Order: sequence, then structure tokens, then C-alpha cells
Amino acid sequence: MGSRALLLLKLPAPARPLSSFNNRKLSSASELLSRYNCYRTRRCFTKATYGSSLEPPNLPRLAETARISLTPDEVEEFAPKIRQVIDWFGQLQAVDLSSVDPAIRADTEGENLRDDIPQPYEKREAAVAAIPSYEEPYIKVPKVLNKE
Amino acid sequence: MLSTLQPPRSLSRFPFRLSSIKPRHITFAVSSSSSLPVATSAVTDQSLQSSQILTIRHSLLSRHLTATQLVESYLTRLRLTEPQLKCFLHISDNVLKQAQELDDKINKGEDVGPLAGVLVGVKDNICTSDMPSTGGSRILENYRAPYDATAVRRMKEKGAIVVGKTNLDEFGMGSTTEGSAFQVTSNPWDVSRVPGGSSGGSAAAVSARQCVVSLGSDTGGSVRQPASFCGVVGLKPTYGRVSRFGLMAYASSLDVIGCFGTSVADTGILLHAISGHDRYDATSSIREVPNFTPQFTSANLVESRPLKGLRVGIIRETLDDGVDNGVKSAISCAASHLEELGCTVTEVSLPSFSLGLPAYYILASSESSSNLSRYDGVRYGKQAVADELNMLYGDSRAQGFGPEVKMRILMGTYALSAGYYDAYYKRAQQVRTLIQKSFKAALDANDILISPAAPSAAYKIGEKKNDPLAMYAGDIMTVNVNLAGLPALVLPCGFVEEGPAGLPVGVQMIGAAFDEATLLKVGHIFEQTLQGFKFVPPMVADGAS
Amino acid sequence: MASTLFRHIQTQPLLLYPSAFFRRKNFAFYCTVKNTTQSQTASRENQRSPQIKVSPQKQSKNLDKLTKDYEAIIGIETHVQLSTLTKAFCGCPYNYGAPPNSSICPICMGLPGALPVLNSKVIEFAVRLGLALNCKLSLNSKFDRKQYFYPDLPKGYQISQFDVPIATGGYIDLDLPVEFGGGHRKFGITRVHMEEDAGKLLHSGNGSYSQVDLNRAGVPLLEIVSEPDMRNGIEAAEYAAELQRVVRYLGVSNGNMQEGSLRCDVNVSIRPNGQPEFGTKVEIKNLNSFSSINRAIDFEISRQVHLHSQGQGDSIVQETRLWEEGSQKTVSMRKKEGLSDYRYFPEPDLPEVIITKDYVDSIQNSLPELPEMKRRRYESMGLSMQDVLFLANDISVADFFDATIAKGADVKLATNWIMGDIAAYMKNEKVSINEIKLTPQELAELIASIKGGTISGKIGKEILFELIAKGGTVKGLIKEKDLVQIVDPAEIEKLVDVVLSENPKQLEQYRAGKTKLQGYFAGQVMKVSKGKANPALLNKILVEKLNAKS
Repeated sequence: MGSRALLLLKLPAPARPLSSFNNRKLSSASELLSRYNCYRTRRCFTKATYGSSLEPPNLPRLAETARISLTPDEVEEFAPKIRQVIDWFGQLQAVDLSSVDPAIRADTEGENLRDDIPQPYEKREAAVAAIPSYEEPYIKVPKVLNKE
Repeated sequence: MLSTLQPPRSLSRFPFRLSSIKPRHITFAVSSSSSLPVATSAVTDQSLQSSQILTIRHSLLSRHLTATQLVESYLTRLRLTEPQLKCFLHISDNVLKQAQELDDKINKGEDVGPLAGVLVGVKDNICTSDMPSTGGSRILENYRAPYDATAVRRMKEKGAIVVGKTNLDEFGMGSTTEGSAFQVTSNPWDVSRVPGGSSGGSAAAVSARQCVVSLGSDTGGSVRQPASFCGVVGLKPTYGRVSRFGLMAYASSLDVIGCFGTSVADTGILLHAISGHDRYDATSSIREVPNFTPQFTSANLVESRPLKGLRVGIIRETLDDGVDNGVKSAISCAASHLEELGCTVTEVSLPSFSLGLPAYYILASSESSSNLSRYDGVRYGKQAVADELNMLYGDSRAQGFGPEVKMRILMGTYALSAGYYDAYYKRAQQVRTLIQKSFKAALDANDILISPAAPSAAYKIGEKKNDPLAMYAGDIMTVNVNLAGLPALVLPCGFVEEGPAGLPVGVQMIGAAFDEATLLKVGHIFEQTLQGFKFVPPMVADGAS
Repeated sequence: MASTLFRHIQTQPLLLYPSAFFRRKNFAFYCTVKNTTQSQTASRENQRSPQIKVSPQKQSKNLDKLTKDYEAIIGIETHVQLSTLTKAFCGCPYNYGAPPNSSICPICMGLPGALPVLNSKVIEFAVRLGLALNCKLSLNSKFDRKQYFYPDLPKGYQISQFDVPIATGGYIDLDLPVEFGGGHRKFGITRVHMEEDAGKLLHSGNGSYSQVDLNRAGVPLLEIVSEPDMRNGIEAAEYAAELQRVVRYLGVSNGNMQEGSLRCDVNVSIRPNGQPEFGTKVEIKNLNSFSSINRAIDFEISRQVHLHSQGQGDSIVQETRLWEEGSQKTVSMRKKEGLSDYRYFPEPDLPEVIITKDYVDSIQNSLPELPEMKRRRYESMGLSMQDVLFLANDISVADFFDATIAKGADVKLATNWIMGDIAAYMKNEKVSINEIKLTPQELAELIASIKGGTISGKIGKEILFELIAKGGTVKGLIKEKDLVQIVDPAEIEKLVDVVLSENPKQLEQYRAGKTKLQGYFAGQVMKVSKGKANPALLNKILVEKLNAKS
């Protein structure tokens, strides 16, 4: 039953050759980004590498970024699975999406804003009670060696 | 480009074999395991036959049953079945007290809410202040939320009694509950099989009649697929219909809270109770929520073709080679049944359908990698011992998260990294647009669409554990609905011949945005007129040995 | 290493420090950086920072000359904490100085299941500031998540705006203070966007642990990014000061650097004159006042020039440095390999921020007169630049001044009073113009009374003090203390006669040739008249009488 389901994971026929992907015009947001990023120290410039294969996931580095201490066994176990899934993600590269706007979510209606009226939270004690290391009135954390 | 649908084809030309389905005739007796007064003769009204919630209300208000008696019968069944099923992570010790309070109120003639006396199971990724909320994860073991989720609060305001927190795949990531850090839930139809996921506990609990209805969450099918596997009704509302405040976020643009029940009517009544705009959720819709209850009590079931004029589209891409024949037959029967009810059933093709699955997983793992950053052991949850901050983070999260969650976080981190955003996340958003458009076009031409809820019936525990893609493949029927934000209803429509008593199969009905009313109407009539099936698992029907 | 500083503290409230004079290692150098900003005005000639003549020994003329060969490129990122009543995404109130962790809730704590909902006032303030900075407003902007791990960031991400900020492409006009050479400047504003603040992280004494206070987590901020248009410390400091003025004028923030409601980080790079490529830029943090902005930049420019001129330009790396107030230098915070990747993606929990043109227009129409407009208006009234800058710097002072002249007071006189005696009082007593008891109405009345001759200037000064300290009306005080000036010649004559008759000796001496005694007599008459005699008239009559031969 499991193997049959895998038949569902077929790749769509590539709609166009990859060259159209390469020639995609930079959107104005990207242009703004490139000018803006000229003078930013804190943000790495998004230089998407079109067409060419993206670097495969570097698991130890990802784990550090995501603050998860993986054991060597876990790295060994996860790496091929993650690689497999990321390769499978890659099928989207072959689709011509040049004229399609991205959708952040399904359409919701209304702006849904708040008025600037104070509403102090009544159950502060309950929230504080859940803090593992609390030394009144501060939340305690160990020293920081590196700040991102 | 997106509206080139195939010309309508009648069902008789579908190229798959119909396997023979043997309808099971099982009679369902209320509370067979204890001698309780049963109000049988009074229950002739159609509404009461279709809704457990309305039956309970009637029984309580007419004093045929006390809340205490009712609740005790459920708790007895729960206690008997729970060792095998393990649906619950936490069971309330306050249930009988609430039942007694309700009895007092009724005796005094006070008003009681529409959900009075209704026992509800709540998936453990939905916050409750009087019980732990773990999200199925060690990182939140014993966590007590200081507040109730809006959906829970609304339900309780209407008289519902929360019987406990149900098991799930950790943070909603998974399709079997095998991803839970604490236990694996079994399918009441065959305890060697999974109940589905991630809301497996909620589905199984309702299926085993441990509670009347339950709340789950659906990000990529996590209400609908378990509903199909467990033979119960699962309702996924439109994105924004129900407040997400208090639902532990998995993929914020896809998550919804959904309802399980043993009937369409019950899921509709529960949905109405929890729906509506919430000022604590900026993505919740301001649209009015219609009261669904009248249509369950007044549906015209006597007329020969009550759904005449309704256009139903059956999604071609969901009936391909990867789908089990048993499932295909069940859907085909469902389609025939709809035709008998007067619908016009035609085949519909949704372009870009197969892109939905990778797009979904890119979006879900990306958003979840962000949503789960807050679980760092500092302000709540399990904190590892460390004398340096990044060690604290790294170890707390390594010890607290299960393997599937870790992998998804890592994949999501990768997909959002500088240089990869355009290639993965942004493309997935674009695919989402394509899928939204294709559904819209199909739903302009049809009132509802139907498909299976899963490519197979429930599989064995342990079968899919090590192959992520095989596991993900099972979501093909459901994820596109989340990407489009549409409502969908799954209700049992047949069986496949596996397991000791057959395994149930559900049909998925998909509606236009905020059109739960049509889904519930069609589902209700379908259910009430479906002959020859009783979707009660043997362990319940036989009195739970 | 102790550095010798010579500070020239202004009496003006601007509190800007000119370039400091450093002694470092074996040389002392004086920083000037060639100014090559755009939009130079005619008063450009006076650009150079005031020379501070110091006695110390070694002055490195080499370095002085060297800095002239380079151009400094400076950009500033400013975070303005908005003075809304509640936080950006939840209803928690924010009060500076409240007990730690007293104003928190599931949303700003980042509890499981919590969701943000935007405070509508934040949009209003953002539009106001965007318009005041002459920006183009985006009618449809969105929020993004900026992701990193830090204890003061509860969700593990900050809700900010990345690629579609609410305002872009503006500019700010300002006038450099007269004591720094004056001159008009126009600096570009790249963007203004909305975001939330993090909490506070305090480090324990021995450094083994830290403490988190989440009161500030979720407070709304506006981030303003300037174009790299500034060329030296003064320009940068004045830019920051002008931003402070603007946000205070608009009422969107109290703009207080000490409290942290106005924070500036600067980026400094240098390039040899004529080189088109930018040099490596260095970020400087921990600037807590305008003067530190000024000094830190000038220090950093010298540091970079020095390295570059020694052929060590490569050791200028892209990094973040901290300004150390104590030692008056920038120090490396931490050299990082590569840059941070914040993995931005659109915030799914918040709908797009959609504003209509009507909304923008209505806010535009409700903007108060901004500092730049005020300065131009005051200039057109004939005031000197020094006066203009003083009056326009503080909106309360400007309002007071405007109210005073609205009552008909003479512009120059009002200016003098405010900048002179009133300012002196405010400084001595450490009060603001809103706290003094003198009202604009009464100031106008005072000016009119003096101008019209009702009281003398000297008397005017005296009652001013009382008006400021205790209040009251001019008319009332004049009446109460019988201060009306004596302008009737006959009366003055009588007084003079009295004085002359009471001082026969001096009269004799005067008539004998000691004409200096006129002052003595005048003083006596004044005393007798309790200061009310009109001085001019008094002297005229006195002289007549003194010189009369009888």
C-alpha cells in the first residue's frame, strides 16, 4: 500500500526549458533589495543562483542555525532523508512560474487591527509559573558566548 | 489556461474495477455495556437520529437521562477501550463534577448552552488552561498554558465538557500519531493499524465513542485523513473561519482547527459553536457564520432526489494509479449515491494538482521551522542543563523534539536560507496561487468537488516510519485544499476488505470558501440516505471486550 | 590610554560637541574631513569645524593633511520607539521604568498558540513620520519575520518589514548650527519601516548568567535608514538631532536617547578622493548621545584614514564596533566571518497593511508645522540663523514664541527675552518652558509695556523674574508695585529739585567741573523715584538743571 502511494509522487512534464528560468526579470522588490543591501551590514544579500544546482544541505551548519544539537548518529540518519526530500522539492524548479504572483495565504477579509487601548494581562502569574528558570523579577539564562 | 476542464464523463465509463463490497449490518445500541435507561421510542424525529448532540440535549432536557448518567456511560466506555487505543494523553478528573453541576442547573430549570452535556476531546496542540498541553512533544511535557484557546473557550461557554487531551503526531507533523513523543494511538477498527494523523487521537476517540465530538487541527489533511481511517466525520473549515488563537502553530498560513463527530450534523453544530471572528487572530474572517443546525433538522430526505441540480465534480487526478482499488470503488459508489440523490457528477481536472504536495511541504516545513523557534526552554517547557546560552538552546531542543520535527525544522531552515528563498519558498507560494486559481475555476463550474481523503485505508503501525516520501505521499488528496484555504468534509462512504471487520473509507467533499453550509447539507443528506453501512467499530458495537 | 579632550560645551540646548582633540599614542591629531556633501549653500565657506587651539605638543600635520585626501561616507540607522499606549501586537501597556516583567502577556512572551494583532496607531505614526520625511508611502505593505535566536527575542523572530516597507525615498532638511559653520543640508532617507522591539537583556556582574526583562518586547519601533549622505560627525549628529526634533514635533515619540526611545547606529567608510567605489564600511553601536555620534564618527574616520594611509587598508574589515565613552574610541565587538542570514519570509499571521490615499491625505493635512518649515518661516521674519535654530529646536519653545508674537509682540524683542533671561532661568532652575509661570500673553504684554513706555526696561527685567517664577499679570504687578514709569517732566523736575537740594556739596562740585557726578545724581533720582523715572527724560532734565546757573 505504501509503495503504491509513491506512484502519486510523479514529476510534472517540464513546461519550458530552464533558460526561461535564467532570464527571469528581477522583480522590483529584488531591485530594491539589491540597492538596499549595498549598505546593510547585517543581512546577507539574496543572490539566488538561477538554473544551476543549489548547494545541498549542510546538515551540521543547518543544525547550528536552527539551534538543535544533533548527535553524529542523527546527522548520519537524517542527511540522506533530508537530501531526498530536498531533491524532491527541486521539481518546482522546472515549472514556469514567471507570470504567477506568490500567494502568502488564502484570502482573508478585513484588516483586523487593534485599537491602542491598554489591556493588562490578568493571568501573568500563571504565565510566569511556567518559566523554568525564574529569579524574581527576571527570566534567567546562562551567559551568551556568541550573538547571531 | 486553468479552466480547460475535461468534457463530462459519466461514471460508468471509469476505467477501474469495482470490487465487491459487502455491506455490514451492524445494529448500534446506545450504552450496551451498562443497563441505562434508553430513550428509544421518543427518538423518532429525524434530527435526533442524525445528531448525537441534539439527542443528548433532548434526553437531558426531557429528563430521560441525567448528565451524570450520560457522562458515566461515556467514561465507562473510555476506560474499557483506552488501554488498547491510547487516544488520550490526559484525561480530566473534573468531568463528573461538571456533569453534576449541569444536572443541578437543569433541575433548577436554568438555561443550558447548546453543547450542554457534550463530552469533547481536544487535540493536545490546542491550549487548555486546566489541563496540560504538550503538543505531543517532550519539549512541552507538563506545560500548562495560562489561557484557553478561543475555540475551547467558546465551546465551554456553550456548555461543552472537555473530557481530555488527545494524542497527535508531534506538533501536527505526521499522518499516523506514531510521531507522538508519548504513545501511539490505535485504530479502533483494527488495533494493529494507525488511526491516521496528525489528529489520530481525536478521530479514534470519537470513533470509539469515548466522547461525542472532538477538536483536531488540519494543516495538510490532519483532520480529514484520520476521519477516513477511523470511519468518522471530519470537517475542515475554511481558513479563517475558526480562530487559531491557542492552536500551537505548525504552518500558520495553512493551519485550521477542525471538528470530528459521528455524524455530519454533529460536526456542523460544533463548528458553529467555535467559529467566528476573533480579535486575537488577525487572520480570522469577519464573515458571519450561518447557523447550520436548522438544515439538519429540516432536510428533506423523503423527496426522491433531494440534491437535484447540485453539480459535483470528481477530481480526476485523485483517481490515478497510486490509489488503492478499494478506495476507488468506495468513491465510485459515493459518486453513484450522489447521482441517485439528484446530483450531476462529472469529472474535473485540476491542473497543477501534483505540484501541491512538494509546495505544501516546502511551505509547511519553512513556516514550522520559524514557528518552532520559540521552543527554546527559556520561557516554558523542558529546559536542558547548560551553562552557555546556545548550548541551552541546542540541548533543550535536541532533547525535546522528535526526529520528524527535527528534520522538518532543518529542511525549513534550508528552504528559507539566503539564496534558497526564491528557489523554494517563493516558488511554493506561486504554486499556491496556481492551485487556488484552479480550485476556483473548478468550483465556479461545480458546487462541490469530491475525491478520496487518502490513497488507502488505514495501514499497519510501523509500516511507513522510515520513508518520509512514502509518508508524505499519503497527503496528496488533502494538501491542495489547505493551500487553497477551502473547506472540506470527509464522511465515511464504504469499506475495504481488510482488517477483522473491514476498514472504513471516507469520501472528501470540497466546497467554495466559506461555503460550509453546502458541504454540510450535501454531507448530511448523503449520510442519512446511505443504506447498508454502519460505521461503528466492532470493539464498540460488541460492547468493548 | 588616557586621551585628552577639550570640549566646548554650548550654552545652547543643542549640546553638540565639536570635533575633539585627541592624543593617542605618540601623536595628537585634529580631525577635519573634507566636506563634499551635495546641496551646499552659499555659506559653505565656513564649513570647517571650529579650531580648538590647544597647547599640546605633537600635532601630526601629516595625518591632518591625510584626512583631507579622503572622503568619508556615513549612513545612519535610527530606531524610534513609538509613544503608543500599548505594544505593537498586543494590548500590554508600555511604561519606561516599570518593574521588570510586569507588562507581559502570552503574545509578547511568545507562548505557544499566541498570535500578533497590529495596533492601528502604529500605522498612523508610521504614515505621519513617512510624510514628515517626505517619503513615498506604500499603500500596500507587509510584515516579514526576521529570524534569529536571542533571549530577548521571545518568538525566535522579530516581526519587521523587509522588502516592502511602508515608506521609501524621502529626505530631511536641516541647518547645521552656527557655531559649526552653519549651512543647509539635505540628506536622503532610504526607507522607514515598522517593527517590534526586543526585550532587555542584562548581564550579571560576574558574567555567568544574564537576565531577561520582556517589558519592552513587542513595543513598536520605526526604523529609519538614511542614504549614506553624511560626510562627518557634525552632519551625522545634526541629522540625528533633527530626527529627534521631527519625532517630537509629530508627537510620535519622545525621542529620548538616554531612555532608548531614539537609538542610532552609524556606518562609516572612507575612500580616497575621486574613487568611485565605496570603501569597507564599519558599523558603530552604543551611541547614547548626539555628541558621542559626532565623536565616534570622527574617531572612526581617523582610524580608517590612518590604517589606509599606512597601506593597511585591508585591515579595515566589515564589522561592528562599539563606541566606548570612557576611552573615547571604537573597539571591535567581534569580527565575524560572513554576514547574518535572517531567513526573512512574509509574516503569515498578519494581513497586508493596506492604506488608502484618503487616509494618507487626511494625515498629511493634520501634520503640525515641522521644524524645517518653522525655520524657514522664522528666517523670513528677519531673525538670525542663531535665533532661528534656538527657537525652532524645541517645539515647546517655538510654540511659546509663536503664541507671544501672535499677541502682537515685536519679533526681535520676543526673541531676545526668550533667548536671554527666560532661557537663563530655565537653565538655572532646570525647568522647561512649559513649567514656567510666565505665559506668552504676559510676555507680549511686557514687551508692549516697555515699548510703549509704561515701564522702563530695567523694571521690565525685574518683573519678568517674578512673572516667570510666580506668575501673575504684567498689569497687575505694575499696579501692585506702583511701577509705572514717570514720564511727566514736571514730576521729574520736582524729584531732581529734591535731590539737588539734598546734595548741595555734590552740586557745588559738579558746577565746579566734576561733570561725572551727573551719574551720581541720576542714581539718586532713580532711587528716590523707586526706579520709575524715565531715564532719558531724567537725564535731560537733570542736565538742564545742573547746568542752570542758579
